[in-house]
Amino acid sequence: MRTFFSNPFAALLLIVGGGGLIWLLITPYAFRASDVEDGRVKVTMWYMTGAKEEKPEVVKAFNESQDSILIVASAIPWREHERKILTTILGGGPPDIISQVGSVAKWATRGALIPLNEFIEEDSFDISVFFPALVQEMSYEDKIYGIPTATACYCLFYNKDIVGDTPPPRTWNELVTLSERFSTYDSHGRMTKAGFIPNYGNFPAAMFYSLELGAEFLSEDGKRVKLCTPPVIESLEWTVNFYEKFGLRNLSALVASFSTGEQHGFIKGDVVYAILDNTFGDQIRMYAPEMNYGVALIPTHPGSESVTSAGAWWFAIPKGAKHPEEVWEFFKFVSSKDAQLTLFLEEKEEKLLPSNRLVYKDSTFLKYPNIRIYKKQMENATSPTFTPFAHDAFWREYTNAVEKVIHNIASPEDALREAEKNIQNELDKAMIYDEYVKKHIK
Amino acid sequence: MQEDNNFMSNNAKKIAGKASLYLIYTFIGLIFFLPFLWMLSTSLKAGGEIFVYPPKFIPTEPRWENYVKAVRAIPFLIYFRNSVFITVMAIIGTVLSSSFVAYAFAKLKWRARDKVFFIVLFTAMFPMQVTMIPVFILYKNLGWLDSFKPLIIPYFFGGGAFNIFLMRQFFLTIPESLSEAARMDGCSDFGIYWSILLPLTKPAMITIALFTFLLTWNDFMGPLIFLSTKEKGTLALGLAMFVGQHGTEWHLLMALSVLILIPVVIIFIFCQRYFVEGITMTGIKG
Amino acid sequence: MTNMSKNISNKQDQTVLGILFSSPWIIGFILFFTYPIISSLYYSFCHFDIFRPAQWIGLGNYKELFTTDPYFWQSIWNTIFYVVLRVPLNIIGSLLLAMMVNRSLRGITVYRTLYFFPSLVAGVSISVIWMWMFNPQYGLINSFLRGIGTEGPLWLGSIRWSKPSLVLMSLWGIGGGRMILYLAALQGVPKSLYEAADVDGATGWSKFVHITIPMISPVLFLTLIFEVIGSFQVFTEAYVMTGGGPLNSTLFYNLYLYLKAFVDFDMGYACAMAWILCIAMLALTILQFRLARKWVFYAGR
Repeated sequence: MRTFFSNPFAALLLIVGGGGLIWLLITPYAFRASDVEDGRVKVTMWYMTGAKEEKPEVVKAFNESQDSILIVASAIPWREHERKILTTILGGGPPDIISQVGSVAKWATRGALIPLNEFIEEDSFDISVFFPALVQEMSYEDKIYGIPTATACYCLFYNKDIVGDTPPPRTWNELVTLSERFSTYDSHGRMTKAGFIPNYGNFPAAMFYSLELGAEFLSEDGKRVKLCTPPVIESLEWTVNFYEKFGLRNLSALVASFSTGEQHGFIKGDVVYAILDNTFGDQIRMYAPEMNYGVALIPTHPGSESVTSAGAWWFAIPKGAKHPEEVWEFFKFVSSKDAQLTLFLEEKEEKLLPSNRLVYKDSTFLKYPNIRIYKKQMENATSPTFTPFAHDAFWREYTNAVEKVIHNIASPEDALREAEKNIQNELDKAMIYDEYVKKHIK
Repeated sequence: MQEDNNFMSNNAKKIAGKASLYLIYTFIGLIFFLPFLWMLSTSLKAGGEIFVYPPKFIPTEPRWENYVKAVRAIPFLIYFRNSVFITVMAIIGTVLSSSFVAYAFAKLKWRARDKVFFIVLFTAMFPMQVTMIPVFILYKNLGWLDSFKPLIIPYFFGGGAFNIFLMRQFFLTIPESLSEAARMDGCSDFGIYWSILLPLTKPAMITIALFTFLLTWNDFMGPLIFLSTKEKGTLALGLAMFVGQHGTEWHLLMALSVLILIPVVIIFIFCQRYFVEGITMTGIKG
Repeated sequence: MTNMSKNISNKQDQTVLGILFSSPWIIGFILFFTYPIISSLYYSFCHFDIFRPAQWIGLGNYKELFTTDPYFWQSIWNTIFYVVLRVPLNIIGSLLLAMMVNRSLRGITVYRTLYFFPSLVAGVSISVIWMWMFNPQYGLINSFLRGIGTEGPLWLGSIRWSKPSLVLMSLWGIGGGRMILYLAALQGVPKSLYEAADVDGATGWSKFVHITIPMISPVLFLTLIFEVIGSFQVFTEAYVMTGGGPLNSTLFYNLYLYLKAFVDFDMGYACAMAWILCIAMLALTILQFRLARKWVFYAGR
């Protein structure tokens, strides 16, 4: 004892440290308060935050609409959402509801989500009330793993302040012509305003171009990747020509100076035509409220329909959730036509589109600005998940190929062939592993 | 007369030399300080003033409310508490265990000593990736995921090769005669370590504490990988909240960065003296 | 006379005590090091995604890495490029700064603090600050260059300049802990050596090469080793600022590993990558130790 306190400073450290350690080890650090509050079952949800951290309106509406279940929602940063969900499902104690974008396949293959088929059958829930593209994203091996609650589709935005009354381009070639008309340059010959930049944004224009030509990326049996096909090659050739016409350095310099928020190219007025998702109107409202802008269908080829990409924003139940039945009640609420319609109209911002097709027949809904365009666009919507098993690999390789082609590092054919090979590799690996796992889990 | 002239010009040269020296030093200091200045000024700007050309260093009107917004946007107090807890515990763990372990290599004589010490240094040369994933799985199996345990407990097991090395160096500079005398008086080895050596190594302890503090306070990767529940975040992780799907809120991010920086600066200025002293006295040259 | 029997003579082996005192480290070594290393070696021979059981595939991952992986070699090149550029510049930079602040000028501590400042800032904040600095249109660097009449490159947006940009950014931290270490080492060089050299009429450069460097060579060596290892692990900057682009020019080895592990969930593959890095690092470190015999000088050993 005396020895111990002969060094009071160290003794203090040891006591504090020891105390902290003990506390750390014996308390499971649970913020898991009781599961019941005011007589309601507490259901936890994680949603992804953008720049704003507001609880999803639908959660508030649900909580108010009944009094047996209370949903407590918390936000997770956009960038980290996948990894955080991975950690929490592995670490135990996941929330009851997770919200994500994109295909469920990544999680479903790993048994990380609870399939909803039982609930669907019990309640005779009609899953076809959602757009087919969205249902496709929720499915994996004949089971449904999530409920698509909202979607967003890509359309052509254009700056009316700059183009005036000029009607938006219907075809890709018209887009090129109009770009020529509206690009501006400074005295040094550097481009200050671009008519259009094919590779700026989340989706390369080439993707829509090829889809409209009927490109398919995966064979029927789901085993072969088909990337090096004529429609896709042509789409990349068109892209390369575009960049050559306007100058790679010009367009790259502009893109490199863009950022987000007010610094977005379209919002700054430095890009006249841009293919953006429909929620972009919200960005415009926030950062450039005076801008006159228009929305139109994505350009297509003469005689073809315009095609867009629409991914699902969905909710799902992770494995280990404690209140799946209550979550199902919430899911039913969130997919109902009334809830979706009301919430959509109440929101003052441009929001995600409803996933329930019935909403699109409602006359009030159809009066909403630009809705008709979105509705038309949604008729030809595809899911952006072409290869469920190798989704990330697909987009990584595809984007790489496009960039390589733009920078003249490879020809479209070579770049696509290489990308196809790599994606196929990942796909094969994933399928081999999947087979192995199925054999060993009985 | 001649000598006076020489003396005058010599003096003038000296002053000119000194002045230009200070000028150079200040210029370099400015280069180092400039980004930091921008950090401060951006934290007070309105969103639209950040990306302008020519760059604006002085906002038209300082928006102090950015700080309020930043603090409100994340659970600031909770994160602050978490960061403090993790950092303090890490420091205690490191200081105590690295000195404890260093005693074995500095003051005890045993056959395997130098071989084991070599292994200690050896482990420092392994990149962290090679243990990253199995450690993650280990924590999963222990049930430590989504808790502070992975961020604290490892520090109690030696605190890292670098710190052990530093402490050992320091112990080596303390004359053997002190421990001998204590031993003669019936002091156990633990007693020697605890009552005699440890109090003498304050500069080293502060140095180690400072390094550990810097490491854990600003650590982003650890909390990123091991924590998932929002309430368990740390300040450094909170910075990530401002990078959203549609963009980064630069001014708020910078405001938070400044807030996170303040404790560090205060502690550093306070301990700066010990810092250099601590390293000097470890006789690290040899 | 105190009970000498209790206190053993110096000649006795204190193994038990030695192990006792180093036990925290030993336990940690087994738990957090040896066991993970062996597991990661095992996983490197498997398909594994943590959610599901591991499938043994022998050398499959390694074969794929060396032959068909499209980014493996590029990530190695990117990392080596970065390391080769960064290590010498940083070491020399810190040394220069240390020599500069190693004077008894008045207020020198102010400068030391000033130069140390950047090391105090959180990694994420640093990345964000420098993203602005490098912005081709509005950033400080290009604005300055434009001010003196030249046009700066696209920095992070350029395939050629993305890595040099990150190296430039790393130079911001040369006034940190390493500089303090060098400072301490410099102060430990006996003045008598310099005085003796002055008597012999040695030049400044000669003094530097023949006295300063050898005397601080142990510290230089130590920091060199850690700087190399640290540089090979570059991650946060690329993760936050470039995401590996443009066109994978900043896809560093560690970043690629992370993507494979936590985005593709291909843990076995990532473990294989980790082991390759590990072996390379060990080889490199052993090489440095061998070379050290030529230039590192231990006074009085």
